[in-house]
Amino acid sequence: MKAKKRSTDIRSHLQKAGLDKASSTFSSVIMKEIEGEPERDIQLQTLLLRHAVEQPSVNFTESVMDRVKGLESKSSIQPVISRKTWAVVVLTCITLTVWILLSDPATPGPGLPGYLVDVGKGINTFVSGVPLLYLITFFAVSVLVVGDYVIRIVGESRSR
Amino acid sequence: MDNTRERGYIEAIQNGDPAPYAFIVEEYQHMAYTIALRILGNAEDAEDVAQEGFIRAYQKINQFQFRSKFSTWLYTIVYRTAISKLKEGRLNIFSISDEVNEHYTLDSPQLEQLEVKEEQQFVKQAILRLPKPEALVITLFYLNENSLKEIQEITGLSSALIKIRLFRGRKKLERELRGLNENQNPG
Repeated sequence: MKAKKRSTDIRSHLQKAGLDKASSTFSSVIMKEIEGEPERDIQLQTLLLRHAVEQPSVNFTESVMDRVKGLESKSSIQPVISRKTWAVVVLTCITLTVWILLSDPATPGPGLPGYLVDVGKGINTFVSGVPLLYLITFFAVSVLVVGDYVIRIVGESRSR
Repeated sequence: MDNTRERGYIEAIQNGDPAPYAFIVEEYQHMAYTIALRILGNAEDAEDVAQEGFIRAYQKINQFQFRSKFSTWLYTIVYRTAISKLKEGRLNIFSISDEVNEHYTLDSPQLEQLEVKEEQQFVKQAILRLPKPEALVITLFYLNENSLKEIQEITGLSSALIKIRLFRGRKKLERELRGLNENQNPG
């Protein structure tokens, strides 16, 4: 009880004493810091420039350039057929195969060249002679190979 | 290195000649390393990160279009590489950013007759005692003479936060180095 009364007394004394006053330039100093581009203390800058720049190892440049040359030799081994060309070839093959398989070779549509009709007939004959299980296996393996290729490309481009 | 020569080197590199990159590395290695060291606080990691920063900059050099200073662009990469390294080490960036260095002391040691090496050591120690974010901003502002806008670009921090860190860092450094200045300019 006594302790609580003492605490209240102290608080009332402190409140009566009021807050300490800051200097008259307090606000302007703060606003100058907030609003303007900070000024450089020349003396501090001179001292820092003289002593605060750190030195990396002596062979720093050599190490970086060795790694740069490593990158160069790696990138100089390029495949003859670019990825873009491969993509175009694969897409063309898929489109042609699907088109030929879906079209009826007995009644070719207008504008379908004769050799394509022959190819279609050949594929149809071949497909009808192969057991269905073989075709499914072939399709599944193709999907896996293409999937693996795509995942590797994505992985490589992310690691760069 | 003047701007024209630097531009020539960069354009040559962009055109596929890696050789002039050695001049670029030579020119900027100290500041890149200093920035990495201010962030990581470890010489070995700082060296790795600074090198990695240069390699990444080389790989992306075709993206540099002379819209800003090359150094600003390069240090942005070094800064981000260092921050990634910190994250890899599972250090909490925010706790580092807001850290209050408990060992920071306002008392300057008695500085008399300091030799250059001792002086250098003293200045470096004063910077080391600063919280890392303040040390970094001080480094960019005073050593590399980056403008507020450039520091914003490099660190991604707001202008207000940079100013606060600059203000705090400068005040602490001034207190730390007061003795040194008085020693240099008696009377």
